[in-house]
Amino acid sequence: MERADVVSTARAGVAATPQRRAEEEFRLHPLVWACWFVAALSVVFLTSNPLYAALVGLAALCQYAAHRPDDRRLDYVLVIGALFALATIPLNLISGSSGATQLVELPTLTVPHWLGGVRFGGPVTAESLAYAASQAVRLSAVFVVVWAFNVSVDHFRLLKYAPAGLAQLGVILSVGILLVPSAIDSLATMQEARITRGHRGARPYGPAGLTALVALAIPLLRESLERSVQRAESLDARGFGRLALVRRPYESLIAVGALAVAAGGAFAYFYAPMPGVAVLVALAGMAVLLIIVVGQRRRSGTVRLRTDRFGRADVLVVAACVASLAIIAALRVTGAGSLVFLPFPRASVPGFDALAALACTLLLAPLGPELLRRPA
Amino acid sequence: MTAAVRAERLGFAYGDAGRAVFEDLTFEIGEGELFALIGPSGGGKSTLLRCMNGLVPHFHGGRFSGSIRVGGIDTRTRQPRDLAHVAGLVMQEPEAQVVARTVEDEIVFGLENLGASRTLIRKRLEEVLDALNIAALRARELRSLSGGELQRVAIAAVLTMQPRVLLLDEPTSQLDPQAAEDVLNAAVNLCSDAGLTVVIAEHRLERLAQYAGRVMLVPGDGSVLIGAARDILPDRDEAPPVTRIGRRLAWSPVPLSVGEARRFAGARASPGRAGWPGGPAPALSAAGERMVEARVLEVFLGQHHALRGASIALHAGEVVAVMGRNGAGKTTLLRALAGLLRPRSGDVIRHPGLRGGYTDLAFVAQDPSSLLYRESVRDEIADVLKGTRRGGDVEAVLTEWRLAALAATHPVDLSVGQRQRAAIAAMLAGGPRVILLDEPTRGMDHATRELLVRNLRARRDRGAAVALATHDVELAAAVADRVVLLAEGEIVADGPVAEVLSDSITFSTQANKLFGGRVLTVEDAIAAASGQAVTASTSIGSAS
Repeated sequence: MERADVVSTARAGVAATPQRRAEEEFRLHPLVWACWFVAALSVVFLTSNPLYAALVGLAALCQYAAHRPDDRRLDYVLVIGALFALATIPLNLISGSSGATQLVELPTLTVPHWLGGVRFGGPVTAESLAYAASQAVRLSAVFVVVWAFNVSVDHFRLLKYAPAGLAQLGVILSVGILLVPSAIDSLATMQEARITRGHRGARPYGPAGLTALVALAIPLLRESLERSVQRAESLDARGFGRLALVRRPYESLIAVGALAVAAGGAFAYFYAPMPGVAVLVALAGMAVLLIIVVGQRRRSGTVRLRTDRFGRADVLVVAACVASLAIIAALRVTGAGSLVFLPFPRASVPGFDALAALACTLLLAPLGPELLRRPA
Repeated sequence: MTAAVRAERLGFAYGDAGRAVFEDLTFEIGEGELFALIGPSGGGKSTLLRCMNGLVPHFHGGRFSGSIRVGGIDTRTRQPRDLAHVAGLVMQEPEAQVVARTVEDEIVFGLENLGASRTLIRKRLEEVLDALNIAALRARELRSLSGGELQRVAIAAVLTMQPRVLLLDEPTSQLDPQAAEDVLNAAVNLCSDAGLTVVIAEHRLERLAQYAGRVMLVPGDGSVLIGAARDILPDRDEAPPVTRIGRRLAWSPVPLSVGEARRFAGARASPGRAGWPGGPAPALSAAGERMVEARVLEVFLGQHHALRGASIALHAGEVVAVMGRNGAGKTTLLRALAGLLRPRSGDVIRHPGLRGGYTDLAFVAQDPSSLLYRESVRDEIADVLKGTRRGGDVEAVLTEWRLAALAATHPVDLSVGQRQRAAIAAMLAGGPRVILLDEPTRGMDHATRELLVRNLRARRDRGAAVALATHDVELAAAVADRVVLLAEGEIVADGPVAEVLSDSITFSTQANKLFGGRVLTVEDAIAAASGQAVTASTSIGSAS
């Protein structure tokens, strides 16, 4: 009799969470998001062709919009991203131009020779304008990819997969990262406060105008600082950083450094004049990282509450990301697919290759499970 | 028995030159005691709680003197993180406390930091989800939660750690009556069953009074008064209504809970009981014109169907209280009325006599911190007057809300309750004709609450239409003419305050629980007890 009771209670416990199961069914594994993030960023770095960069940016935007319909932050993200990218164009132009088609001549300012002799201003050419614009497109693609990753992945879950020492550092980083969307939330709230205070240039629903951004910049900064102090206070009060592992902060720093060196080496492979050295640097970085990770895992004290399941959707998305990156890398190595866009000495239309475009489009893969989640 | 908290000649002042928050304070809190901190906003309750977990002096610089031992550990010798297993603090603003992204991760965060075993974490998680009735929220993202839901999660996150001393800073300020009951019950159970010591700072004493063993009154002048709840509360204005009734009617001993008062009420106040169910409620006084009206609103927030065909009209010269469970759609309804969100279908219609924009309509949002963004309280008020072109005198507003002493203070340096008062004062400056307030008494002390009640009534009498979303039943009884009850985005009741708030289990006042019928406020109860006719909606809510 008693036994039967226990069984029925246990059943009730399982039955009480169908909503959670349904929600987790189509939620991608955090490592899958990390994989998507690395693939998308690498693709943008590997190509200087603005068409492909734009495709990657669009893919990120699509999956963000599908993931978060009605997200009022989207407007802000687009505005800030566009402003950011546009701002780089004049910066690129005044820092020297070359190319055949001159558009205007700017006054020249030359830094004294002993300071490097860099020249600002001078002739502005159509070629350098085209190049600056393509760089702006790449930059905004990176911006959108970073943002989409940030809103999609659960940092806390992802960090459970990082080695313990890195994870502690990562929690601080992720709390910091979470402050960015929460700052945009407070911007929206402040904007709303401004609206209800009847200020000009403030209109409901839409993104904040420039006047509002200017008026709210300082208060927003102060609010963000205040918020981060409060978070730090809360982290401290809740025992964060007690485990012995963080008492060896230098290890985490070395690990982060090694990670950076490894990544730097990997990218330098494509840009540096001596690719062989870059590969060696990357391998050395990875080796150091591995030693630290293995060492830390041995004395790890972290507890993982729930193991995320690696489902069929996850496998498919990873496959798509790997394929995308592999195709782009192969094209880059072979020099095919018009990955490189250099409008010098004469401006040209960026090339377009179906295979490269397909590779970029593969980055839409996270959309699949997202669409399945909502049958309507 | 050892003391859970022992302060010796404790003193603290923010900054080196700042005014002392308290001085030379010596007290002890016993193991397993439920200890309440009461007193006005800005008096130092939050600071004292932070002393007990080491955030003061380790995190907040200032002049610290004397010592405080928690669980036998001198806080000066340990960092707050190394005290986390001894003292757990639930902060006043849950928004400031949460760090994770989803509810489950937030709740287990502390236990993970303590290095608890996986089995223990799982077990504690399930226990606390049940105790606070938030199992349905477990997979939700924190930023999708309503204010009250977030507050419960923040409490759960600290309860799971089961520290020896639990420090709660106004834990029920945003909770509906049932959720507040759940939270207090959980705290009381931990206290009596697990032997935890619980220290609660609170303004709403209706439920807490009966459980609190001892009370510390922190008036804010550096001194404190400590004594049994039964000795201190009866003389205080912020005492629960039932205590105030008992004092007025000279019941002895003065009751602290409805249960205790029952025997006196049964013997003395039969007229109210005999009249049950109270006959027809007094009809609403002839309401003025419709100032704002919502017609069959359907609102979606993301995937969440927040309002389902809600219709409501606000008339000139009435106060409407919008009540309902946490997450029922109260905030959404007010925001829709304020024109701040676009309904999927349905209309919001304004009286043609109202000037456009926010000249004649004021909306005070729930979180006062992000409402204030200027350099001083005076600037905030001036900013609203300028923006809305309402016209009005800043100094008069400061006086009206007793803010003159804080006029030059930066909003960041105000306590949560003071921020709330400053935000309301600023947004209502210049006499708007439609006033929408979201949870206005959050973190507010008794005196300010009384001020708000008088102020809103005066504005109503001058013809303003007022709507306020609140969980505070006593406030609704004191100020509202009409109550709109929301559940799951639908309006389930809309009627005179005496009708909606009487004969309900959760949404009724202490006076009503005691006397039944149409008795709602302390004044009603006194009248009922002396056998006079009860006119519920017109009596003054406050006692003495």
